[in-house]
This record gives sequence, structure tokens and C-alpha cells, in this order.
Amino acid sequence: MGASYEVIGRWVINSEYGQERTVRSGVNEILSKFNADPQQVEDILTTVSEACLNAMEHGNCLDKNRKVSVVLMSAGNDLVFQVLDEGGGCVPPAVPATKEAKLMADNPRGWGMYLMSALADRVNYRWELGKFCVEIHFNRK
Amino acid sequence: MDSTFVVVYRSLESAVAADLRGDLTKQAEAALLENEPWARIPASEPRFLILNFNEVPYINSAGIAILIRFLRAGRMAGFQSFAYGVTPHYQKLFRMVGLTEFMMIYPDEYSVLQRIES
Repeated sequence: MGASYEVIGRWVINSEYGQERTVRSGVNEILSKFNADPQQVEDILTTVSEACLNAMEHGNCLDKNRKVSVVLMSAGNDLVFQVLDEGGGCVPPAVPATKEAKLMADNPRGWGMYLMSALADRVNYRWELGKFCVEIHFNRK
Repeated sequence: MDSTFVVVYRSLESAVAADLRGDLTKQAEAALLENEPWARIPASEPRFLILNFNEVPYINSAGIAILIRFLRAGRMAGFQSFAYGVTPHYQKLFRMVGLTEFMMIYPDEYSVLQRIES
């Protein structure tokens, strides 16, 4: 990231279902001060919730002792979320299943990454300082 | 932390209504999948299911997966499913994942009933 980003929000949550709502609520509060587009706010909240859930479930294996960290940064019209887990991460498959295949699977799960990719402007996956990081970009509308 | 999810079924003249209440997440699995209405409705009765989402404030991907399983089971049992009270954002998500293959979304219960009875 070349521009100078300012951190405008930070959260650390346990890897327990429901904890993503703390981040969701905090992000919503921050975005309300930006006079953000309501539809984009909904997209952001869903994307960040799904990233947190993936980190908790697949990265940290729902180990309550492992944390998920979320950082929200802003530079100009760029909003960036970094969601970090302390486990093995949740790497997207090289060849993602089609929507049709997912829909008809016995257990039709795995919609989190699909929704994240569809709702955000850009999603990157990488390792950072020993933690798996999902970086999500939104161009503010 | 989740708002506990419950389903309350109502019998209507031409359909079965399901009032969904609470967060539609993984925790909703038992409420939706262990109390399915299909077996309780005689084959001679109307096979329409109407889902009321007015009191569902939060839906995540795990909840969507559970909903897909529920609606697929309904289709296998010969039910045609409808929904109302779905916010524009969740309507968008439902369309994105293809849930609208299993469930038609209407603005309210009255318009669903108009559709069923037409």
C-alpha cells in the first residue's frame, strides 16, 4: 500500500461465533461518521463479518484462546480492513467451486469468500508477521 | 452473543407460514432443520411455504447454507417456497448465491398469498 494510511479502528476478538458482531457494530459506528453510502455500509459489514468468521473458524479453528485482530485504515477514498488470525489462515482454493456446485453440495457451505470477493473492490491474502492476513479494500462511494 | 433463532409455524388457508425470529447463523441449524414442517403437513394440503424474515436482523454465510438445505428439503417434499420481509441487502445476497432458485421474494405476506391464490 503506497499511500499514507491512517488507522481509524482496531478490534481484537476471541474465536467464538457471535464475536464478529462486536467488530460489525464498531465498524458501523465509524462509518456512520463518514456519511458513507448505506448500501456500501451493508456490503462492508457483511464482508468484514465473513472475514472474521473465516479467521475464527478456519484460521483459529474456533480456539477461544486464539484471537482475531481487525484493523481499519483509511487513505483518501480507500478503506482497508486487515483481518488477522493466529492459526493456519483460510486460503482460497486455486480453483473455486462454481456457485451451482456449491448450491447442490450435500453441505452447501463456503459462501464467505464468495461474498467477500463479490462485495469488496479487492481482497488479498498473505502472511504478515507470522499471522495470516486477509486485506479487504473498498473504494468509498 | 447471538440472538437465539426460533421458528414459529402458522397454518394459513392456502399455505404454511414460518415466522423466523433472531439471527440466522450456524446456531439456527437445529431450529430450522430439526423441526421441518414437511412431515406434519398431509399430502392433500397446500404445499406452499411462506418465510417471514421481518425479525431476522443478521444473516451470515453459515445461515445461508442452512437456509439452502432447508429449502432444498422443502422442494424435495413438494413445497414451493416464498419469502417476505427480506431487506434489500439480504435480497442481494440471496440472489448472489442462487437462493432465489428455491424461494421467490415478495414485499409482504399479502402479495405472496395473492400470488399463491391466483
